[in-house]
Amino acid sequence: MVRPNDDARSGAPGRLALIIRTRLLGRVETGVVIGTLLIVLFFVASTNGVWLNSIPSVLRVAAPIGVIAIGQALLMTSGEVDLSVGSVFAVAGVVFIWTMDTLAIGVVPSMLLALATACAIGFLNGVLTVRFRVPSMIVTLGGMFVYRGIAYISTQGFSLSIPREYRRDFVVQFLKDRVFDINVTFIILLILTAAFVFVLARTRFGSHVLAVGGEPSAALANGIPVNAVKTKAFVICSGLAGLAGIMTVCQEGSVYSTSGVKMELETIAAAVIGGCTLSGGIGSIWGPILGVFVLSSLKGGLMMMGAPTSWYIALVGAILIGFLVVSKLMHQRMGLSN
Amino acid sequence: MRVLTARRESIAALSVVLLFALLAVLIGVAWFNNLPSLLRDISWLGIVAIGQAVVIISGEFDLSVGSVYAFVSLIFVMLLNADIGPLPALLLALLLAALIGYVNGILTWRLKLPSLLITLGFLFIYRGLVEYVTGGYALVIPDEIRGSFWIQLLGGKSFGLHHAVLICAIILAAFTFVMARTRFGSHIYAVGGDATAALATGVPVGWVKIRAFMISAVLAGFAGIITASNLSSVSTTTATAMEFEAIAATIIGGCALLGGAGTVWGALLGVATLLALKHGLILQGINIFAYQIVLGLCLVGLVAIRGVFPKMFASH
Repeated sequence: MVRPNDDARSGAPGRLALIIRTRLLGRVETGVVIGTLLIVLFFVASTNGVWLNSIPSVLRVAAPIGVIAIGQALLMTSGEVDLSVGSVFAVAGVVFIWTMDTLAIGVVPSMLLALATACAIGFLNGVLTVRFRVPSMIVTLGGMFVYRGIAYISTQGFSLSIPREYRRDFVVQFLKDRVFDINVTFIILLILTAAFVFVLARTRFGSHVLAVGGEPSAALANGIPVNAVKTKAFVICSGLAGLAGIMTVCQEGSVYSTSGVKMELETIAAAVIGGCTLSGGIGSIWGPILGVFVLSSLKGGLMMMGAPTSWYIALVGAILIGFLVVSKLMHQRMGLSN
Repeated sequence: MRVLTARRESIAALSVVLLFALLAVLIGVAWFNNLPSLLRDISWLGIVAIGQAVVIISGEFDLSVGSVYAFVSLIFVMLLNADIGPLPALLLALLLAALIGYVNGILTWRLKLPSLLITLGFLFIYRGLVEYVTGGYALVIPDEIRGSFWIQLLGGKSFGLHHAVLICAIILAAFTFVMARTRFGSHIYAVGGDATAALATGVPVGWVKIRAFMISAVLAGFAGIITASNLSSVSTTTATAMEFEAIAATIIGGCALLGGAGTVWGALLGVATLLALKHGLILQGINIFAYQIVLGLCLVGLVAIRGVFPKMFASH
């Protein structure tokens, strides 16, 4: 039996398959989207929906790590990596509280000073990497030790708290507050995500970042200021780590000597799960944010199911390796290059 | 001057000589009394750094060494507690370490995934297992086994010298020979220098890299076992951040970050630099947290020197 639209019908599945392959499965973020759905389904099913109530606190935990992951993702797209973000996170908090305490110049100037410190650290990382040709992994590994040491010494191994007179300050309260039951810090994360998705996809700086990461010599030959682009990416990454540190200090009221330990590894894991590569040239901003969400919801979900916290650490590793292996196999199977 | 600066290891060698002389003068008798424990610490981290150097020269990274160090020594202590005898426990634990290294290598090579990420994943996995088993406390070697021959051989002391130092010296000599004089050694350099060229000339690149990972994991596990034998315990935080210290030492000791150049004895000089600084700071009564700052500055500074004076310090 021949029907008039038979031709179209035979062509449609092929075209549909092609669209699915290239538009849906071919994206770098595909893995993390599927992973997010699976994890949400798993926790909702295994806790009979109780898990959904914990989403606000998951988002609260995710906000600062997400802010750092944006910077890490951008930097990894440009072909470099920052191992010092966790220590910069702590140092920004220390500088913030220290300036409020000793200089007494008010909350907002202290914040700006802490941010400026973080950006200066990023600038230093960038200059050491591009000018002195020290690999960024070494520069930022050194930075990780140095700034962590500073955090330890200035907190004397314990913690520093926001001075009493500033705790009721409008800005501090605002960052601690919720709007429509959503934490302000999470709203900041959403705004920053939107901004950097736009920057990477639609601005000249964004295309330069992709070009520099993909093929630095070709980028240089085409007149892209490779060194300046990379330095800017370093400054953005450290600046965002500093911002996350300030946000966390406002929320928790203190900074600890161990604040942000292992955060460099968590953000790199999130960025990789979200579609970034170590070699650069490929990248996504919202993919890593979903990666952070996956990791943070794991932490909360496991606790809710009564599992010891050590499971979380082991699962971060298992998920990272699982994602890498599965996405590699998927790409090999479908004949797409990564 | 040329002779002094001609090798990649020169910077680390000069730092070790200067540091040891300077600290001996500054601190005096206490420095010499502390030498046995300094040498012991150098040997523990040194064995790990030798393995890390082999992996880095082959063009890969092993971030899991700290967790493997803790995990393998934990398994060793658990086996001792299960009363299967020290030698079988030692052999089983080392076998486990070899298996861990094999998995690192096979995932890196077969799936062509970056080793930095694979071993980062395993860093989390083994650390999580250690935390789960120890539950935040420490696991100890049973009293009656502590005096046994094998435990004393690995963790004991004779004539004021820790056995760890001798073991490290033997491992160093063996791997210096392997890297400089055997076919496997030349393959490691070839694979790290230019993997495609090595493959084209018939070097079994994958198998060479897998063996490098196995060496690194076994040495890390073995160093953990020696440490556990000496301290009689393993705790949740054993060897956290050791991977960073080992990589820092290896790079300070002149190994190229992207592979193809360096020596295992250079890595040991890097370890000696870092730990001499650490012990010096402690003996001088300076805040121990300052060590982290010094370590970081040392790493960036010593590597940057090569970038600043490219003519003075040879790259080969």
